[in-house]
Amino acid sequence: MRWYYVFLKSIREQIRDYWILVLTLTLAPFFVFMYYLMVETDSREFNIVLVNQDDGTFFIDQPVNLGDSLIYYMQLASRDEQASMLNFNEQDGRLAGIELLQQGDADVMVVIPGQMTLKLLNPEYEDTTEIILELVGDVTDMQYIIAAVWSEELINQFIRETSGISMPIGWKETTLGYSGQRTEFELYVPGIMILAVIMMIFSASAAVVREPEARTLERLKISNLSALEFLTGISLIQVIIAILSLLLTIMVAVAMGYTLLPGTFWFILLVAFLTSLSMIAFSLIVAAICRSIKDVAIIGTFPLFILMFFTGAAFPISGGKLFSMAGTTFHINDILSPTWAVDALNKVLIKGQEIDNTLPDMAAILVLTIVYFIIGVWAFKRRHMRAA
Amino acid sequence: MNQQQNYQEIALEIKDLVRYYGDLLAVDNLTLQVKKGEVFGFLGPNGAGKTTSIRMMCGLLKPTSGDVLINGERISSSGIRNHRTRVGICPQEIILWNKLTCYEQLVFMGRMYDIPGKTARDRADQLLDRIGLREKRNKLVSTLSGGMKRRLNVIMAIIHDPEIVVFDEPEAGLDPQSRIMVREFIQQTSGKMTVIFTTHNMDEADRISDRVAIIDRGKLLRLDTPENLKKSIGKGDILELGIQVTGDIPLGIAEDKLKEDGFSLMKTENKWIIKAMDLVPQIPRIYKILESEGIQVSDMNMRENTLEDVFIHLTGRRLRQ
Repeated sequence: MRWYYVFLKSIREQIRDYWILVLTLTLAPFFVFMYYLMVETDSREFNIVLVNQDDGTFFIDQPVNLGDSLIYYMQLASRDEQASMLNFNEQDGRLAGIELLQQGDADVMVVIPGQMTLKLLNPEYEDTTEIILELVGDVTDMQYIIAAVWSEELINQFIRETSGISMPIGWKETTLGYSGQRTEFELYVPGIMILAVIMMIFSASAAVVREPEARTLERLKISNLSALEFLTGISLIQVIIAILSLLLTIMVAVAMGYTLLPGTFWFILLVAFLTSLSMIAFSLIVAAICRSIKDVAIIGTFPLFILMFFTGAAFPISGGKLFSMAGTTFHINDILSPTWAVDALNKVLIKGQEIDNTLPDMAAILVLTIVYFIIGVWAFKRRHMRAA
Repeated sequence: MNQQQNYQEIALEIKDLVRYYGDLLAVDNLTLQVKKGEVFGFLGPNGAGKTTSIRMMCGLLKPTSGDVLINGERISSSGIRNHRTRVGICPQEIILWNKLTCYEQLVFMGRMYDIPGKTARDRADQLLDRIGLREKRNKLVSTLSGGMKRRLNVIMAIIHDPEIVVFDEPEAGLDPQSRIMVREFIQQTSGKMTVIFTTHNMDEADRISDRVAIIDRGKLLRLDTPENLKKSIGKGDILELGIQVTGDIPLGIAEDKLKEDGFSLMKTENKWIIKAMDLVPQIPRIYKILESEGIQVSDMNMRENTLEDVFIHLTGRRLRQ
């Protein structure tokens, strides 16, 4: 039962040293809120500049300008809900359009060539070269790429409708799992749930380092307390902190519009619990490097960033390939247990897979936890227990 | 003190204890016995090997060679784990949990030694009373003064009622009020427990020890009761003279003259320590000898023999040098 008294002591210390506790509990919920602000409140719009250089022609004694018709068609399409994010802006000349692109007020410019109507309506026209519509913009910009694809699609539709040509093939999109029902914000939430657990690396490392820093480890060492009891007592409170942080994260996410799928709550808790054990083991490695809580705040930032940004917790990421074995490809970031945790959550919460399919992920987390523990205990003993 | 007590049993025995730190020999073949219920003082200057010795006694440090026996059992063979409840240690540094109250950490440490909850709680209150911290029972350690922390540090060592308690420089950094409290506490504790303490304070060692081990450079120089140690360098008064020498005066002639006149002379840097029976009437003669050799006395102090004199006699140096 000595572990229980270490646990009670740690609770008191955590509550009384509340800054680290508050930081650990609130950072992931804060991230959820930030992502919501970044992704959901920013309504995505694409500004398309249209420059009509089409001269038009007379067709059955009537003046016709298909460039004007195309512009009208595109503007009409933008009233449709599917293309409502498109804003069209007609400019008189190419230079005016480029100026808008350079100022960031437009994402793409579509230049309709001078003889488009003539060539389309008069098949016997002497110039038989194809009609070239020009797309202008910053090709490295994702906004340009999406706006360009939309522009091409609308122009193709216009051509098909005005010429009466029907496409021999059609497209049908089937969404994988719940990906079609999820908003962009919701796609980030599983990763941030694991981020809530990763954040405990600060409080766990600080809880462990606090003892050698104050030399109280020396008192504990000469008592009947064993290393296992000490670590159990300290770890238990850290697991509780991680779960509390996770629950807060889920609450904030749900409040921001995240849909928690029925039957997945306990699965999320299980993954978080396993990951928290792993992070406690990882914290031992951090604690072995640090001599004081100040060191944890400085040195601990480095592994925290690695875990945040290279596991898919903060941003979706795929690490460089290491090797393949039994049909499974292993990546560099697979040595970080949160990578597997994020993968497990994404499988069930986004891709709609059965929980059984996450067993390899769970096994990987457990194996890595054991590896971290072995390294952590060895390093901690070497650094702090010998000196005590 | 407790000299009347009859110490028959040996609480702790050290045999040929040696400890090296790299090439530095910190403890050199230390052999001694501590009897049950006695107050045993380790007297020596800083760096003498006192703390290293007691850390080995408590099992906190592995000796390079030699044995430590508690109640006749070697701790190196049985491991310190079997002796943890028998030994309590009060380290020189204040080692406390800043975010726990005085009461909480006493009870917590009690639980770490498997003391039942009620016993630990009662004992925590008793100890806080004894050391004058009752009013601070529910205060966080971080809010206590330095002296209060030191007092709490002292009682933390005996929360589990050990057979042997080791105090490393228990009076270091204490204000006068706390010093008296700690001294009384140690005296009250002796008899029920075997008390071992280290100090470089001769007065502290003299006042509270039943026996004193004088160590220097890791070596045991002398071990006896304070009275016997003082007797060992002869009875009489001590005259300390601050010496000022102007010019290139050979001091050897004055030294020889004093010795010829039957004075015992010890020298430390700029002090001459002269010892003799019934010294007061002889002071004018001493002054005359010094003046005749051109030596001026800047200050003078007369007192009885102390353990410091014993140390100077043994090493030729002061304890605080």
